[in-house]
Amino acid sequence: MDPRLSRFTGALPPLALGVSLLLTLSYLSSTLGLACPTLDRTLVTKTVLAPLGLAGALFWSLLLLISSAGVKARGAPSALLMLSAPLALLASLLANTSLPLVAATLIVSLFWLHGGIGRLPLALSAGVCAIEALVIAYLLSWAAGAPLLLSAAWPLHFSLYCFLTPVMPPIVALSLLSPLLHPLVKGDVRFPSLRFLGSKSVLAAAIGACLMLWLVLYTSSLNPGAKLVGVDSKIRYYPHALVLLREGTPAVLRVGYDRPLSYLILLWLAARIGPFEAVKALPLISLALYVVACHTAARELWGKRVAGLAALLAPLSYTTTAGLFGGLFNNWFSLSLALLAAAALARWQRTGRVFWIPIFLLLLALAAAAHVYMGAVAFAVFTLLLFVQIVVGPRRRGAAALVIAQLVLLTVGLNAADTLIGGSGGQSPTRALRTLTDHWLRTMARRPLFSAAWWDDYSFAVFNYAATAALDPTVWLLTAIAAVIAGSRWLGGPLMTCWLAVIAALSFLSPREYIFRALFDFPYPLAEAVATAHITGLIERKWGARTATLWLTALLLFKLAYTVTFACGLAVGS
Amino acid sequence: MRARITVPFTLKLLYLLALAAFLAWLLRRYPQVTQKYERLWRGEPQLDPLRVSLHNPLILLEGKVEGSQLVLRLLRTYAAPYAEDLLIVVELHQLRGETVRMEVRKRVALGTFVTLTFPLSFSAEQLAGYRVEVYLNERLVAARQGDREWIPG
Repeated sequence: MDPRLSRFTGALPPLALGVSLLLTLSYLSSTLGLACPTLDRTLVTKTVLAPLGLAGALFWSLLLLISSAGVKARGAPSALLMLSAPLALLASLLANTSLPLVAATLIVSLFWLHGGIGRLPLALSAGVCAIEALVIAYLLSWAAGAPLLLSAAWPLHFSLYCFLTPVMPPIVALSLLSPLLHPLVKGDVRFPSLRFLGSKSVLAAAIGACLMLWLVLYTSSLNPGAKLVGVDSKIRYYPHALVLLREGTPAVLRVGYDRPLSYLILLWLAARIGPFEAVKALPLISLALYVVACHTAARELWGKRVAGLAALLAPLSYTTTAGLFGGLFNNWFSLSLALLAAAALARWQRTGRVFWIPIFLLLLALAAAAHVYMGAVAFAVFTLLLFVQIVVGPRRRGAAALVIAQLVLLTVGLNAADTLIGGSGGQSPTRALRTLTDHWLRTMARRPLFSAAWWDDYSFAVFNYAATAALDPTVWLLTAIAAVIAGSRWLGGPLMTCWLAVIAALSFLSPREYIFRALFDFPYPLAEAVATAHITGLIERKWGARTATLWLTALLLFKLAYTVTFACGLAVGS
Repeated sequence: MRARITVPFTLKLLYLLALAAFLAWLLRRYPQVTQKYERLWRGEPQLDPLRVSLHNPLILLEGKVEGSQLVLRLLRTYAAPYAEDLLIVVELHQLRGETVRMEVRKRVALGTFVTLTFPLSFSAEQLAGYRVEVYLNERLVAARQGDREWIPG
């Protein structure tokens, strides 16, 4: 047989079993009464039931027949398995229920497991890849104005994660506390040998994904009038861009008192391409810069392969969904600058070249100028990290000097900003931070930590505040895994731990309307990339490169389908 | 470079117990708030994809009179993804022979459950029956006729 044909026929049984398992998951989720909250114009609850009917039942039994052919059994068991497909079909049609097909799928899976436990992840990954590819094709055709008849695959995508939805607020909270588990874990992070992750084409693919998301938002049939997308785009950036154009540079400090650098860029853009187009360009700039920043920081902290993964995950993370929904482009810009500062810090730690210290301080100052609140968070994270370094890390004297330099920068910077911004009629950073602190202290006094009222606020932030933006469980689970396995690997591990500690404190103590902004302050793609690389490495060593590549593809396609679903829902509701 | 501190097993066990107690304390109030958000993840457990025709773009799940209004529950399936505009026409037949006709136009997302309420302009006791017709992009996709208690689904 032709080797290509042989490879194709060999791939069919795991693919068939994978799709059957997803149909089973969809059926079981629906039977348990689960549905999936999704953004589709507004926050709606979608059923996870795939439309089957007679044709669907026939298709399912065909899948079972194909997957039975892949079972490594001889004699009677193999023949019985082949028979299970038509028998299950007959029983399902007679009893008018999918249960026999579900039972047959589980039986075939057990036989698959008998041939080696690694065959099940292979089958599941193949099934997820196929279903998510169909979902993405459907979503893009919908965005193009001619939806393909592939929407039947959509509920299978939802069934992949809907069972975790009821416990998402605890998952989010616990992922922020996951560094607490690090002392109990032995071993170290081990990355895969997949070389393609280190290539430049991965970065190009990530930028391509950013462009695709922007096209869905602004040039697709879902948003025919190309109306502004994102809360702040409409209520903040566009009206402010008009004011900036009318009054010129002096208005930057008055209107954009807490983000002067971002507003200076907005003014520059608005003067060149017009205020409306400038605001429309903000998500694309934020996405692309974030991809580059994640790639740069991950390369310095973890190496080329993790950098490639971080770049691929950057447009598919919570930062993207929440950022696009809220229109948090200035926060996003500031987060990217903080990541570049982390890269400069890592370069100094690795090479010892003092040249990188002023670069780090400059980037930190720029992060604060881009968004004072995000800059303050970055400042707190790096100060905490440097204190950790003084106690347990390398270059202790340098770290102590850097803490002093940071404090000098903070004093001089705040003083200058207070004078400049206060003088131009805007609210000074010190006053803004004091007002915010007062508000937080009042909330903390009124709402005890982890009380029912606290969980209500936290659940609201996770479920409703940026409608379903936080419901991709892979973001939180992978972040937790990264913090647990890599917590002490210098410099990336302690940086992640310090960042999570600051975010945990902020999100736990924030008033309701600030929780999701506090959650936004963490570079999730970095942590996700470390955990994904670690898991892919484990799978590669245990079950081979084929299964590892397939699992990685399945994860990326799932996240892409989740993000494109969110972007489509956002565009159609604009 | 790594900065790992080696700790004895007993200390690890104590740490684990303390952590478990802390997490239990942290999570103890969460179940109380889940009821409030349950509507976000609650579906229709009685549906089986072989039992109901999910190839039909719309299924009328339920219709009943509650107080002074008619409540309809619909499921927009994943079929016919190109069809977006939903037109629901409700005809209410009164005991004295008159008919009241109401129309609602709505865009309903794929795969969603929808509850629609129609106020009765007369006493609920006067309701003899009703007919519901649902059109997607001007095409009739579902129709039901029922008495005042229930539309057989």
